[in-house]
Amino acid sequence: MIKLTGGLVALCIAAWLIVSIAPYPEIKSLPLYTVSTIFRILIVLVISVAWGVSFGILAATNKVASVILTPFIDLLQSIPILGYFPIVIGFLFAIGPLGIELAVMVLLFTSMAWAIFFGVLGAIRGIPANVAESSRSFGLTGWRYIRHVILPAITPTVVSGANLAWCDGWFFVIAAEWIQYQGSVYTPPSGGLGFLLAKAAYDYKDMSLAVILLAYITFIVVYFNALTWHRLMERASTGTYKPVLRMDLSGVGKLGIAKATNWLHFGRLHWPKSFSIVSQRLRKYTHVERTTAIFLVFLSTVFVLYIVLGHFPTIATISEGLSSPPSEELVKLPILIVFTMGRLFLAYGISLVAAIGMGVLAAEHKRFATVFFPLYDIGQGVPILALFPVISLGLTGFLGNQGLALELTCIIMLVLDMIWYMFLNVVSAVKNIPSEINEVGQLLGFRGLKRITHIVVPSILPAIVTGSILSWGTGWNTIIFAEYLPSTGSAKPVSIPGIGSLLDKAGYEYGNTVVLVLMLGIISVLVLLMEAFVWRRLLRKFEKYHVEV
Amino acid sequence: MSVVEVENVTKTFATDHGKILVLENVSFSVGNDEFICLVGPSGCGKSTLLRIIAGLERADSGRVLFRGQPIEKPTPKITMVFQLFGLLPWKTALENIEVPLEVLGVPKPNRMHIAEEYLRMVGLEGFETTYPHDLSGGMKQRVGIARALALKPDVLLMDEPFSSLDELTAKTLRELVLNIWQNPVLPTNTFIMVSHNVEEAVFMADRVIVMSRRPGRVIGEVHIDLPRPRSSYLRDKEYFRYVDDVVALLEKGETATKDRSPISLTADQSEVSKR
Repeated sequence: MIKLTGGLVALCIAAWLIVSIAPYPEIKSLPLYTVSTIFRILIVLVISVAWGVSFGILAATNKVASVILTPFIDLLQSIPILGYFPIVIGFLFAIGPLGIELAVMVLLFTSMAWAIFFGVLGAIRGIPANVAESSRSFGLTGWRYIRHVILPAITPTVVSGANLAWCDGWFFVIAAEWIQYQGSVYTPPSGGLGFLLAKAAYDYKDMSLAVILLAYITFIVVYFNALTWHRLMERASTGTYKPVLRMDLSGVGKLGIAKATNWLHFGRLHWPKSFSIVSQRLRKYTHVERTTAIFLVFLSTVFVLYIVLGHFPTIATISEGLSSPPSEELVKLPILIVFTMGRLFLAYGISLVAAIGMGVLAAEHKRFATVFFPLYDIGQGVPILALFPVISLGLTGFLGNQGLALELTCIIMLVLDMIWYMFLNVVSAVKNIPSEINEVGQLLGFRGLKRITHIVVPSILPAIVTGSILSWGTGWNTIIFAEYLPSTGSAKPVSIPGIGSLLDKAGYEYGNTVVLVLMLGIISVLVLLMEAFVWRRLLRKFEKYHVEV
Repeated sequence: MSVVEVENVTKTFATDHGKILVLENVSFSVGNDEFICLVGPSGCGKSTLLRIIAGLERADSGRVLFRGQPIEKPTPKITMVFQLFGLLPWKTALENIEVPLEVLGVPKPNRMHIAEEYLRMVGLEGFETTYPHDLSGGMKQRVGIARALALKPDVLLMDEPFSSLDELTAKTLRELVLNIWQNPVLPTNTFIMVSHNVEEAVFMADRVIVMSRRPGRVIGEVHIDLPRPRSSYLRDKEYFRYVDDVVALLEKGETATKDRSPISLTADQSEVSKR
């Protein structure tokens, strides 16, 4: 109760301070905007939970639904969400002001819903065979099975998935409330914190205000995490559930926030499940399922095109799209792909090394854990996309070169985005190494670096691969955003060469749907190729390292 | 009159590498008041057979009759105790027993009363509101037994009910199960148990049915004519002779599978009496 009121009071004081200090007219509406963004995310959260639970149950219990839905949703999820922005927007903007609100909510939905769907799917598939069988033998079928078995089994996952979705929502709200489309900026009529932040950074170029707003947003996210989700999580799984992954993180730090996050992310089911889902999906889909899914994605793309262009794409519209700007850049396509992939690989390499180092230290030494977990807390809590204008503006001032600054910002953003999945995965994997393996290592005399290379790293390789897949997924998303700094009041947009920025130009500046869809297609193909030729193989290869507990 | 009749049951499972024949022409019948034990090497399909009797699986050919009627889906007249207990982790001990009663449409006050009564019978008074997570393995299996009995079934199926418990707990629970079987007040008096522990089977059963390695077939059966209670015979020569008989049949099953020649039941019985 003290925490609750204390937090609210702190929030009010902060809002009042910001309003009274900042000289811009929009800032006066800060309290209203705070409420509107919170409500916006909550509404989408409710919709996401409803969708995720119902479709998750459908996909897990119905064979036909499973064959069609799962790979389809999986593919949608692995294709960068931000890439869809312009397409969705073009359609919804036609409706008017309400359309803009709707567009913002659709965009938020596409970033929030997946975690819940896959969490539900994993939790239902994770119901032990003996529980499912005994329930069947005692006549629990149909609706009764859902009520007595499925719903209680998925509750902890739904709560932690909703928490994740909540954080994702805040992550994307910054992009969703400041939409550039065909050269002009669209913002929701009811305003929002994301809009305010973008305004401060892009229009007023007021660094300090941007940082203050960012801190304000981070506080809201972390505050809700510590209070609401912690309690919900506790209630959802009181004493009834044997945790799949239990970690002893007591004494990690006196920060209440850190403890709440530990509770949320490590104490319960969500993480290991979501990771196992990733590996499952790479292993288990048949060619037929994949082909069906790809076909469905193709169909829906054509459908969207049909709506956006008003008629089926004909050769004429396609060639028209391919001859208008920014299609002249298509000539450089191979080099653009190389640039973008290069950035991703560089950021991935940095994240990988840093995450393994930090993860192993945090998992094995309490002293490091007390440093890294609060760091992780804040790293997860900050909506990284919001950092983009801030870092980029700061670096431009520092380096004096916009292009170079953007290049550096892009890499920093990617690292900040990719590192946490790896870190979390490494920590949980190291903690999960069976004590027998460690004891064998001790008996054989492995110490120091030898122990790391012979015992620790091989044991966590499968986890590193699944962490990498998640990292790359979010990395693709971020790079679409991070190669392109939208135009601000007077200045022209800045971009660094890459397929992400080409997509943005096509969507935001020229509204060239043909080029946009082409870029989306190329990115999707790259994502799928990476899956097929890199991740799937690595996962198969390291599967035998998996230690059965 | 026999309560359960297994007639020429054959079952194959489809796997990635083709079809596997797990049960081949299995037939036997179980009479009223009988305690039957199915023993066989692991993977011989004895658990599958139990699931077919429970109505959880369908036989490819052949059929299973309960009081003359074919079994096609789970029925409250035949209930099952599971090796890994199969309790719902999010329901208390009492609620776990109540759920099947709810399915049968027993009103709330009644089913609570019944559940309490059966929980008391298996010696878990005071653990009504405890969740499975906080119960020991033996206690979980007691809940599993209470849940199965609360429906007042005619037939109780048990799939290796003691194999995930430590020996001391298993010993206590064996006695508990035998007491329940012999209790004239309870309507449940036909027990079919799957086990791979020969001594356990000889200790508990009236009749031990021995199955061969996959594909599972009935090799023979041994009637155990030891008087009950049998705990005083556990060091007896006669007890070990029965154990040897069952083991001999199991070994016979190993060699028989290799040349796939069917063994007639009479041949087995002469083998048994010769010893």
